[in-house]
Amino acid sequence: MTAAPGASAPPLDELTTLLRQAQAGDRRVLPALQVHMDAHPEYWVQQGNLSREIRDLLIIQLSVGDLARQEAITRWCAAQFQALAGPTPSPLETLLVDEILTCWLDLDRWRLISVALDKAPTRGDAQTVQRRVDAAHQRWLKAVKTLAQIRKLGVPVVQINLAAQQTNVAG
Amino acid sequence: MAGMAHDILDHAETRRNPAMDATLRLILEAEPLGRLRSTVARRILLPIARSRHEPRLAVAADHLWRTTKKVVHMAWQQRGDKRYLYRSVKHQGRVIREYLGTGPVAEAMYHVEVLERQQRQAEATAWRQTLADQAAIDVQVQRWWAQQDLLLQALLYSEGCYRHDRSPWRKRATP
Repeated sequence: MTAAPGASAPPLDELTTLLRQAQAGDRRVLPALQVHMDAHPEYWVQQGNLSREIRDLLIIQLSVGDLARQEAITRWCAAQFQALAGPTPSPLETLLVDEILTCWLDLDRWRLISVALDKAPTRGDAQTVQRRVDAAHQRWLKAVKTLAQIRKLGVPVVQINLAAQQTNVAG
Repeated sequence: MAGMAHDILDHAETRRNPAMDATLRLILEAEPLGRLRSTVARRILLPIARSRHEPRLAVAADHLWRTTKKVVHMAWQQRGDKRYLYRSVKHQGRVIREYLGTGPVAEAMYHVEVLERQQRQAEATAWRQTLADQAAIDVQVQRWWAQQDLLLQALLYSEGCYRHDRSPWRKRATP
């Protein structure tokens, strides 16, 4: 189903109603929503990114209702993304760095729970948490390893120093 | 639940285990010479023999044996029209029942123990609730991970990479 060409995006009030109807599963609003998303791609870029959704969920869990902490973790994630992905990441690298950061948050979540492992009522509960920590760690390691492999396989970046300037040339 | 556990332990304490008896007899027959050997038999071989038979008891009282905390179980024993408070504690792998008393003092001790037990149960419930909440999020994370993994593989295959039998990703040589 595609939006009619030349159709204008709905105003804000109408859009709110449309979104409510869409959340209720009303398929009749789909053409109007497609028009809106064509006009505002930032909407589907934000809302359609499942990794971002999972990461936000994990950040909320880690911040335990503290908004300052939530903001700090979000900024830390953005900084780590820049540090890991570099200035011009390929789509594959972006995907993997996203994975690494989400797995990192997930690992931190289970580590925080495992701090209070001595309060586990039974040994079975403690082992369950330990297994979750191990699984999260495995996912994180796998993402890091894949990024390393991709970078090893990828096009080598040659650095040329011209006077005081550094220029990166792919080739 | 604690009462039931107490019954199981009580039973385990008084029950004669024929296999353990046979092992003990063998040890004593094999090591009758001198004080040193008897000491070795009592202090080293006996605990080993006992530990071999211990899992049988552990199966009967698994909900207690798997507990990470030192939990004291108190129970009343009715004799005639009076009741006496006992405590079951584990000492050197065996459950021993200690007499605590009777009358108002014992009632107070039992009351404190009941309160502590309720607190432990509340803590356990809270812990399990936290674990269940986190496990629910974990389901979403695992689903996301499976999708990402699939997407990544699709991207890598489309880039001309391949894997042989779970080996690292390699790039096909261009002719």
